[in-house]
Amino acid sequence: MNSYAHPGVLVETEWLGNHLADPGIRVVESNEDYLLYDTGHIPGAVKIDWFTTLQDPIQRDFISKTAFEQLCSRLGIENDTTVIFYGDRNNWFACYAFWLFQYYGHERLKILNGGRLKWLKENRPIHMEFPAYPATTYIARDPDPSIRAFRDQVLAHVQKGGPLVDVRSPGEFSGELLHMPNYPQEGAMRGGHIPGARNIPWSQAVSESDGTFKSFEELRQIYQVANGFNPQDELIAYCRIGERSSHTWFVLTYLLGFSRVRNYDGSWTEWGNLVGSPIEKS
Amino acid sequence: MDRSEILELLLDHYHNPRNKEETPDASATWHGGVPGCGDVITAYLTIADNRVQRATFTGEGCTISQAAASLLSEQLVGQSVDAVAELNQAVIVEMLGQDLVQTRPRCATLGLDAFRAAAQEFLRHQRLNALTGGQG
Repeated sequence: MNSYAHPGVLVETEWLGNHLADPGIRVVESNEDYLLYDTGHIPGAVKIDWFTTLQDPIQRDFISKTAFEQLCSRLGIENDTTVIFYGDRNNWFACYAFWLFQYYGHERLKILNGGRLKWLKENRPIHMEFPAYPATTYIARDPDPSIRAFRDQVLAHVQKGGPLVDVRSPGEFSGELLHMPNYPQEGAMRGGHIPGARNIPWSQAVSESDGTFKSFEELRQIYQVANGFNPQDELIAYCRIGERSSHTWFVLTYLLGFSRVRNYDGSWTEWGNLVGSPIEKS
Repeated sequence: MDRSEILELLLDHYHNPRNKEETPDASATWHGGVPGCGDVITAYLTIADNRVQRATFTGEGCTISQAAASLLSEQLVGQSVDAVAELNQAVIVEMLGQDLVQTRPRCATLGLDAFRAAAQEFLRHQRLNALTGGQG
């Protein structure tokens, strides 16, 4: 057993395998790979795509509250449905979707520990059918600004010396990786990191063997002992577009019990392009 | 093709990629990738009489990036190296449809970028050799 701060946000593959027919749950696959769901998915699971489903098609922002309500209705999600997210890449975009559902006030949210990879490694069933559920009447809450950071808030945070965690790779953090030959990095004009940020790559939070989250004590050693963060800190997490940092937001908030963590979803694609934004290289 | 046929074709190329192998003695090679995303492709072109005799690739990544590279590798054989050097996104849109390309434009065009860059590299060397009499 573990001693996570909020262990109820995780479900194990075995539990899910035994509860796929529960009417009160909806399993949602959310991947980086757009077509992975189409190659086979957990029986009964529906698909959410971080880009085509969760982003406003015109403005750089998430879908509106109304569009979110329509999405939940279309996926057969009621206000009291337990939504269980899983996906590829150690649940990056599962956590991203979790974070957005939290932003719009959905209460019963969980992550499948180990994600899609663990489910497949255990030879659990995969279906090709695309399920459809009766539409619901879903009422979302107003967005919760306490879990999201915007650029002006990040700047104010930097100016007062507030703690930040940059969860990208060391090469991105140092500024060495601006782009690879012939492939400019996703829109960033400058390389480096936000001043004062500590670099804790997201991958440090998961086990290399099966992709599950590390234990409470292992996570505490990484974030609190080695890097000096405290559960009461007003902390901002960021990466390149906000998906890897939503993973770390999840770890800090639910597994370690930090109470004031915000995800800066504008992340480096915004900060690295902002005229006049302060940047450090190392 | 409608969307379901395109999906079926893509999944077939993802599970059974064509021309996915190294060509050690290729006329031109280019390595490309999408940083942070994990998709990487190395493109190999074998060129004779300024035409592509063989196009292969290696790499790993998401379904769209790998399947699109496989599809494209089949289309390049027989084309002039100048034409390959000037390919643009339209060829991918033609293969996959605008809707699908828009979902992941960088992944969909990764193979295209690598093959085009390999062709451009070949032409650069060819021009350089012409200028230096093969001493360049």
